[in-house]
Amino acid sequence: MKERTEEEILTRAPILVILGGKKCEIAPLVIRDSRIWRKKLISLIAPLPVLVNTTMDTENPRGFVDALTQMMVTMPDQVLDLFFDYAKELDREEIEGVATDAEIAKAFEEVVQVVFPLAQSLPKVLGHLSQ
Amino acid sequence: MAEWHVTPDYIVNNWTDELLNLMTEKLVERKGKEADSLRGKSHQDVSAEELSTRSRGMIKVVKK
Repeated sequence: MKERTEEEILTRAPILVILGGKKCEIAPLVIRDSRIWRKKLISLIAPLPVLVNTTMDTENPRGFVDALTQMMVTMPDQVLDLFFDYAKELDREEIEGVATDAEIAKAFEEVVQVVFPLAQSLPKVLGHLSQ
Repeated sequence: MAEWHVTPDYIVNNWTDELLNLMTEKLVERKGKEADSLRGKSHQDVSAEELSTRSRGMIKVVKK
């Protein structure tokens, strides 16, 4: 997964994803809205068994990524809901009809990368999720 | 916040998480450089040979 450049970050460039073979743009949320979305993601991840003995800590990328992986496997519908909750400008009905699960997983990773910039090594670790 | 001349409210409502992260990184970097500069660390120690190599072309010897 490509890390966003400083220019992209400064200009708040849209997150580019491919869904149904077509390029789509998702506007990154501002801190206020992103915080609400992050809480939703954490509330989904927190009860997962992979985290039973782990502190929910986004600065521990390994545990966090394990939880995300498990979430994608066990709760694909919730992941989809969460993804479209972030990417409100996308036409969910149209995309669900054409996009593959792998495309959604990859797009979800791109969004998570933008929402959790403090987990520095996350993009590198996330890279293997959709493989 | 004063460093950026914006209010916390403005940041929360207009900046993205990654922008705040980038700005913080740059601020820390700048403060580090400022601190180094105050301590005189910005002046690199070089050997006489290195100085001679670096200044080649900058010094003109004129015969009188």
